[in-house]
This record gives sequence, structure tokens and C-alpha cells, in this order.
Amino acid sequence: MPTEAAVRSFFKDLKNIAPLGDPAGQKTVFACDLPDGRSGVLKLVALPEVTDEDSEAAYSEAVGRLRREITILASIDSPYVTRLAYPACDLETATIDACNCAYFFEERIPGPSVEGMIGGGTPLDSRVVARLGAHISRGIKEFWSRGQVHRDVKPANIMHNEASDLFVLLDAGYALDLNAPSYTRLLGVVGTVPFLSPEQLDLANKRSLDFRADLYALGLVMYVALTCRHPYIAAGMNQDQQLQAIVGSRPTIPDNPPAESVPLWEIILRLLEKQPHARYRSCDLVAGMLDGLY
Amino acid sequence: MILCQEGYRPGSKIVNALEASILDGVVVSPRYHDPAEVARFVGELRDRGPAAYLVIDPEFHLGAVEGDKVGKLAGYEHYHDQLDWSSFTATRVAQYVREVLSMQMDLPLSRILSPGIPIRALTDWSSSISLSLFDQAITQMGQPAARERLLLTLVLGDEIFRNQDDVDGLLNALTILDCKGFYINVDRQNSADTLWCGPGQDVVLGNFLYLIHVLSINGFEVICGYSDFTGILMLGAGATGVASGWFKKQRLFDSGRFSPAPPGGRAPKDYYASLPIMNWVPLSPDVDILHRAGVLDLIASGTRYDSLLVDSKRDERWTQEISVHEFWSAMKKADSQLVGATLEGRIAYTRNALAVAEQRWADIRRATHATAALQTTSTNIPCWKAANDHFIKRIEP
Repeated sequence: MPTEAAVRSFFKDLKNIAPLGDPAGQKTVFACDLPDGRSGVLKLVALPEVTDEDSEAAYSEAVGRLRREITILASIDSPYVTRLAYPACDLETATIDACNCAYFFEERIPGPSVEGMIGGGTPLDSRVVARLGAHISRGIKEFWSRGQVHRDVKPANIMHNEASDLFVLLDAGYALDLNAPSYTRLLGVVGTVPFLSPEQLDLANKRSLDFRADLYALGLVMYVALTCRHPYIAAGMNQDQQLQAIVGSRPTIPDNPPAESVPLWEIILRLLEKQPHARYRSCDLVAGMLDGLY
Repeated sequence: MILCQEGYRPGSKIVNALEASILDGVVVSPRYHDPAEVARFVGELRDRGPAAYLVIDPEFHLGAVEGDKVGKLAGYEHYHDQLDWSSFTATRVAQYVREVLSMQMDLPLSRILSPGIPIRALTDWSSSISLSLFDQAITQMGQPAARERLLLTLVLGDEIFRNQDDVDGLLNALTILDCKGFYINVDRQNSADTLWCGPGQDVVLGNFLYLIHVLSINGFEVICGYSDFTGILMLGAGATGVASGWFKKQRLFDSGRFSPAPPGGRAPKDYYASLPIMNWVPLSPDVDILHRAGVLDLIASGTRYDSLLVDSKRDERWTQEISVHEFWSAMKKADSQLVGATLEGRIAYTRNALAVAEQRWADIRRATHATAALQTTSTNIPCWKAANDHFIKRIEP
């Protein structure tokens, strides 16, 4: 990955470039001020070096995935899903610090991520969690109405927009588009392990996924937001243990929840049903029920 | 809801039951009506039961089963015989759906039913074609308000219910369909197993109850055709309505029976439908034996027809119409306890009903000295109990 200094030097027309979190894999995200004065987010991805046929295929796929992410975000116009900073943009590529990179810009959401909100160990109020759930289920619906499954709903990918008081779903990088062929190089599990739904582990039926996988992950996010702990994955578990827990564990309501949060817990537990058919049949239904709880 | 599964020679059975409010509605069968006459029949039902739940089972699926005993259905434009996988090109799927929907569209029906074909396995053509028919029906119904009238017709081979994974897979596909609900017939493929208690049927029935439950918690309307007394368990699992009729053929769907076969079956007017033991009891000899033993109350459903059992002119008065009205009245009693109840309440009801049936049988055996002369058997109760337990275990936290 290029150094921060190299990024600053390359993007001369951007101001106040600062990394947002740690690099994840080949991706680094920077906050910045765009040339038109708006706050933006620069997403920078290191592309594979092309040395042979295999690496050329990997390069094409990486570029294809990023283009798909841009296409998906450009097609969604919703306050519950992050927007591109330049809706008509295409993926740009450049060599920065001798690293072949692709990049694009998103609008910056003014506020913290849910991960940041609970990072201090203080759970969120149940009404805030209900609002979070209602907003993000509407975001999930935006994806599904286009035949897409986000596949990476997690606290780090949900921002609280303090200006509008709306929760916003970020990062369509792992989205499955059922209207387009699958990329074949990612043969393994796609998503972030602790927030995977059981059906995401069924690699033979990857294209049978639907919005209910995202609703499951939303249920996990809501659980974590209310308790500051994952319902079945504990610190120190290795990946095999985590995968087993996803399939085999049965989340329960914490002891003695406040009475006003019981209806919310009932919704969360249903979102966390192992079988998609035992969850909810539509995002609207979830959003409508949660709307009544804040 | 207790519905009539229409059969041969309805006479006044249906309209009288609608007027007496012992029926909530009717599943009309085109097999018994000329195409030109079905609108008049539905209109008459609507006149006699303004609030009745009226649907037509298009019986499109009979074109995909062997045999040609389909009565007047063959005269309908929407019916096509000898359907196999090659019959379902995209163009023809659209055509079949259009024909089936338009046959119902202008009639005073409560719901519009899609075509369906028997699904034998989730991995074969019948499953994918059924989903194509459903998608097409949803598309052709158009706006969401119109889709609120659409029931998708599911005809499910009982082999689907032998495997929990198949049931889960089926449910995962069904529960995101945009429709009002489902009209479901389980193709039992064994007309002899009238009590739904053959080998392995506890699992089949238990998984079917689970399917009903999941559809109902997802907000779908679930109408179970050809249900007989198992309809009580289906209502307990969350079914909105169950349909049965006066012949055994209206109480058990077996796709095999549309092939030429010797006629059989005792006329149902000879039977009394007992709610406490959830079974059909022959008036002679069983009702007579129980009467002589002084324990007729053990099987009494508590309907207005019970007094006829000891009437001196019983055999004259106990008509086929009385028989089926008594059955529907008994079912209605059960339904009145189940409708609007919570899941816990419904489970408590079915558990108790099965326990009562067990106890009544113990009392009957004691009172009749376990006489071998009784034709009625209790074999359904342990099977249904196992099925109900299987279902409950599946949904328990």
C-alpha cells in the first residue's frame, strides 16, 4: 500500500487527508476535503501486480469488483445508504508510491460508526438501537430491490449521520449482485466472520442468498449495540470455533432486560433465527415494527 | 376457517351449511361444473353466503398427474393434460398463468389461485417450474393491492416432508414470495391411509405442520385442502382455513386416484364425525355398540346433531348432508377455540385434544371390554401426537 505521505502528495487537490481506521486487506480509507469543499472519503485499493495469466485474472476481478461497487452505489439514492461523492464517476487507477491502485470517492457521513459509538463499552439506548435497525433495514431493502445482497453489515459499516440523525449503511464492496455473474476467485466465505449469517457459510448455494442474510447481520449489530458483546462469539475463539458458533449457537436475551426493551429483543431474536424463513419476509415489515419502538 | 372441499353431487349440502354458518367458505372444484355454469354456481354461493370465503381450485395440477378422471375440468380452457417438463417454456408458463387467473378474475371470489404442479423434490423440474408459475402469477397480478388477493397453489408430494432440509429449502424459497398466501394440498399418494398415520407419516405430518407454522408467522394466509380431522392440527399450527368434504376423496388428496380404479368406499352417511377422538365412527356397529355400553358421550362432538344418534329413525334421518354438516360443525367447534389464539394457546389446545382422544379411547376400551367388534381404530392418535410433538420440538426455543 502507498504511504500516507505518498497519498497526500498524489492527491494534491484534496485537503486534510487523514486515514479512517486501519487498512483492511488491500483497502485503505481516508477522510478528506474534496476540491468543491465537501467532506469526502477516499477509498484506495491496491491492485495485484500483473506478472502472469493468473495475476492478470486477479487484477481484472479486483477492478471488476470495484466497478460493481461503484455501479451499485450510483444506482441507490437513499438516505440510508452511503452515496458516491461524484455520482457519474468511474473507477480511477493510478500508480502511487510504486503501487498500482484504484480509487473512488464517497460522501463523508458526519458522525461516528456504530463500532465507534459502542467502542467505549457503553451500550446504546434501546430506542437508538430500534432506530438504527429501522434505518438499516431500509438500506438493506434498497440493495434487495435491485437484486443485491450487501453481505457485510457490521458495526464498522454503519455510520450515524449526526446532521440528519439517520443511520447509514456503508461499503458495498462485498455485495452480491444476483443480476450479474459471480466473481469466481473469491471461493471462500465473503464478509466479516462474526457477522456472517449461517447461509453465507453454505458455499454451494452462494447465489441463493437473499436480503435475509443481511437482516441476520443487522440482528447481530443490534444485539452488539445493546450489550457491547457478540451473542455467541467470544474473544479468543479461532475461526473454526467462530464458524461452528454461527451454525450451532442459539442467541438468548440477556438476563433481566429492561421491560421497555423486551419487544425489541423479540425482534432481534427473530432476526437471528438460523433459518432465513424463520426471520422476516420483508425489510418493510422489520422497519415498520422497529419504527413503533422509538 | 372451516371450508368445504367441493365434491360430487353437492345438492344442498353447501348452501345450507353456509346459511347455517357451519361453514366459513368453499373451495370450488371445476371438475363438477361445466365451464359455462361455474360462474352461476359461484354467484349462488356468494348470494347465500355474502361473507363466505370463496375460492376456485383451478386444479391445473391434475394435468401433470397420470390419469384422466378429471370430470368437467377437461372442458376448461385453462386445463391442459399430459403436462411434463417440456410443456413449460417461458411463453407457455405465461399463457397457463393467464388462463388460470382470467378464469377466476371476474367472479365474486375471495381469492385468486395460481396454477401449480405437484412438487416431488426440490431438485427436480417440478420445483423450478412451480416457482416460475408463481413468479409469473405474481407478475400478472400486477399492483400490490391485486397481489393481496393471490394465493399460490402448492401441491406437495409427501416425500418432500420426509427430510427437514427439503422443508427448510422449500420454505426459504416460499417465504419471500409477494402474495397473500398459499393454498396447499399434500399429495399423500396413498388413498388407503385415510387417517394419515401410515409408516413414517408422523414425520411427514410433523414437518407439514412446521411448514404451515412458518408460513403463518410470516404473515401468509394458509389454506389447507383435503384435510379431514388433521385439519385441527393444521389450524393449531397456524393454518387460516382447512377444507374437507363429504367423500373420503375430499378429505385426502391422492394424485394416484385420477387413474381408472375400482370404485370403493362406504357412503359417508353411515358415519359420525367424532371430535373427541378425531375420527369417523360408523353408526353401525360402532355407535350402536357404544350406545349399548352407555358411553356414547365419549365420542359425542357436542353438536346439535348428537341427539339424532339415539333417534329411533336415525338411519332414515342420518343423511349424507347431516353427516357432513355434523363434521363441519365439529370442526367449527375446534376452530372457534383456535382462531385468534396465541401460538401457545393453540399448542395447548392441540396437545389437550390429543390427550383427550387417548383418554377417551382408554375409556372406550374399558367400557366395551376392548371389543373387537369396533371398526373404528385409534391408530391415528399416537401418530398425530408424534407429529404434533415433532412440530412443537422444532419451534421450541
